[in-house]
Amino acid sequence: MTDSGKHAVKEPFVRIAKRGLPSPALSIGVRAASLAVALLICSIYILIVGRGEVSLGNAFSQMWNGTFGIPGNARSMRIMMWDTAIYAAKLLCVSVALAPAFKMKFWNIGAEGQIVMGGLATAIIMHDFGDLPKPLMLVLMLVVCVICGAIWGVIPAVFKAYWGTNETLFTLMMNYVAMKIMDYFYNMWKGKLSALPTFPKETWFPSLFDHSYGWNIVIFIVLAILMYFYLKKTKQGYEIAVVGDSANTARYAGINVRKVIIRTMAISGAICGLCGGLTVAAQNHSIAYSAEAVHTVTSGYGFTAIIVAWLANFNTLGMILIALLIQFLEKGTGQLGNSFPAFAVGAGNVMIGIVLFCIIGGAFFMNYRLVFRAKTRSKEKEKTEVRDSDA
Amino acid sequence: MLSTILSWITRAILFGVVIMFGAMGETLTEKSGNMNLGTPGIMCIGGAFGFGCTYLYEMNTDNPNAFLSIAIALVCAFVISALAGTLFCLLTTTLRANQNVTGLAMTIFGSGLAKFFGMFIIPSGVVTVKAVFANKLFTKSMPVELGSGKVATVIEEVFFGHGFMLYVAIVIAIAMSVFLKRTRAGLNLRAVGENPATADAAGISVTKYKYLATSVGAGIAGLGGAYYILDYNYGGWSTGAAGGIQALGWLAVALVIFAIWRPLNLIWGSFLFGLCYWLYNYIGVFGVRMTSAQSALLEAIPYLVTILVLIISSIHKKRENQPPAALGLAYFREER
Repeated sequence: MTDSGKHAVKEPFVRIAKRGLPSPALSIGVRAASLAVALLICSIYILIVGRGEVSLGNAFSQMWNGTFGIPGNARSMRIMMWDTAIYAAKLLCVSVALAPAFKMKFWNIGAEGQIVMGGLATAIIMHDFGDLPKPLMLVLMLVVCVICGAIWGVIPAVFKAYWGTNETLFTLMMNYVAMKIMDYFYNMWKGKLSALPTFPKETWFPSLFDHSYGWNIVIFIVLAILMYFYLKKTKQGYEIAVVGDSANTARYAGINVRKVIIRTMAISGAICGLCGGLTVAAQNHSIAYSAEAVHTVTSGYGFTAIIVAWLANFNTLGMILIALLIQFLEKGTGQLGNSFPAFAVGAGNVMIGIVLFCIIGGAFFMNYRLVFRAKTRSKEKEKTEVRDSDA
Repeated sequence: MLSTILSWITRAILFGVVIMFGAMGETLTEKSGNMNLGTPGIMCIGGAFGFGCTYLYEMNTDNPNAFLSIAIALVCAFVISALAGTLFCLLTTTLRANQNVTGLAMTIFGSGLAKFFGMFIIPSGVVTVKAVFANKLFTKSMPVELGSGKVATVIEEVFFGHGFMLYVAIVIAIAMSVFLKRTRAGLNLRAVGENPATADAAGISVTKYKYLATSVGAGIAGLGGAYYILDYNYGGWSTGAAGGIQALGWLAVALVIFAIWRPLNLIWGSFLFGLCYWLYNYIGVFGVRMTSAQSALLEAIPYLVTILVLIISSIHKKRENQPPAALGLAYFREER
């Protein structure tokens, strides 16, 4: 190894090298390790905040009960699991809506606004066209929410496609415009009342499995399955992947990039709009003022879903798991706050933040590996030895 | 009439200072190519810790010292927020995580941490606590007397009738503009945000600049949160206050675009946003009558104007009006 003496620059102790595509085993291993670290930090947090009065076992069993119900108690389990299912399905639906846009490297962080517009459109039908024949009204509700969501998604897409307008900032701003429009209708309908009452029962979406939101769960899951095949098996899905990898390659291959961008965002916005419409028609039966956090049309999932879609790497199965994890954290910490006053305010979001940071940071080890100095040397040595023996 | 307009301007300025701090922090961060969507959360953190520390200080001392009270609020807000910025940079620069995702997670985390920390300070069963002493210091207007004429009163109210943080904000904005335009370090920082590969080849430490800009930027944004509680919100903290800061935090992100990434534009831009925000309350000045429902639409104006600026600057394609070219992209030296 006379070469090493000639190198003027000292090799750093550790350097970063890119990996190829991570193997499934590695992905699962890294995710499991990230979750383990998150669990550790959360446990320390719980112990410190609980001041020793809250045992870890107790805390986690409370979180479990808050998400899946008290084990053995059929009634509690049924209530909790249905509730978890609808919110997880909704989060899954928005994540699924974002997947094609993200795969195209179009940063649609406007899902919140697209959901709001869809929900609002449906609400207008329920409020002003309640006397239409029911089947006609239901169809109308579904059509307008899809169209309004799609419009809200297409506007930034057109500007991105023709003038390269920054879509992250554009879609972000569109959220707030949508919320203010909804506030306008909320205040107008509310009039002098202190809050907007629910719409008349005749306008509600039909219920399924004894739950008003039964159809929502079914439709959201069907959408997820359809999107999986759309992205994996269709020509349009392939075009999205090519545009996402390199717009220039796509152009060279004869793909109309503008058309793909606008079409994909129309789909993304339409699904968000449908999610909003169904939430209003079948679950909330009302709209809420945007400043009130609870029972809004979106539940804030327009933002949460961005994290879900990205962490799942556009994999539908992964999205289901992460959506469930987020539900466990949201509902579980809610229950924790009910049981122990120390966790009543904010603690839930802190723990969600910790878990997300761990998963986000852990993803590094899927795409990169650390190369230590000593290790590289011995490897090089092996190589030269092999070469020598070959000669 | 005059007093109505004066009170509108005063409110707009108070409002503007909050988002000016947030937008200055975000501008510095974005100049390094990091888009920190965690700014609303970081402002919440700054508000909670700035308020909390100075509140604990004045509750536990018999004769609180004015200088210490201000210093504790500002230093705590700055340091804790800067740490949050460092965490963001650790995830996005060192671990190369996606910036949008990390930023949104930071906003969730930050608002949670703020509410959580605030709850620890509030005695149980109380909704709002006030840092009375610090509030007095922050709202104290400048000791300028211009006589008793009508013009003099107006000038006094508009230019000197505010707490010291307004002047601090303007000084920081001017200093930041000089730093970015006239100093070598500022040039290097812009190079990192425009083209990190070239900056790297020129021997500039991309990592160092990103860390410094993001951390200091987050610290400055955090000061906006502290100002929100101690002046704009009359010194009172409640769990709802965190939501208020978060809403303004998104406006701060909008303001950065509106000002096309120039600190000097932030000064008038923030007051303009303030006027727009409070327009619904004072629209009677123009002889227009509005229902409370219609005023919700007026609140959308700042966002619509921001969208318009974004569209116009992208259609015009003037090079000096564009976002930093590498905004939102992680840099990896071995990837070309």
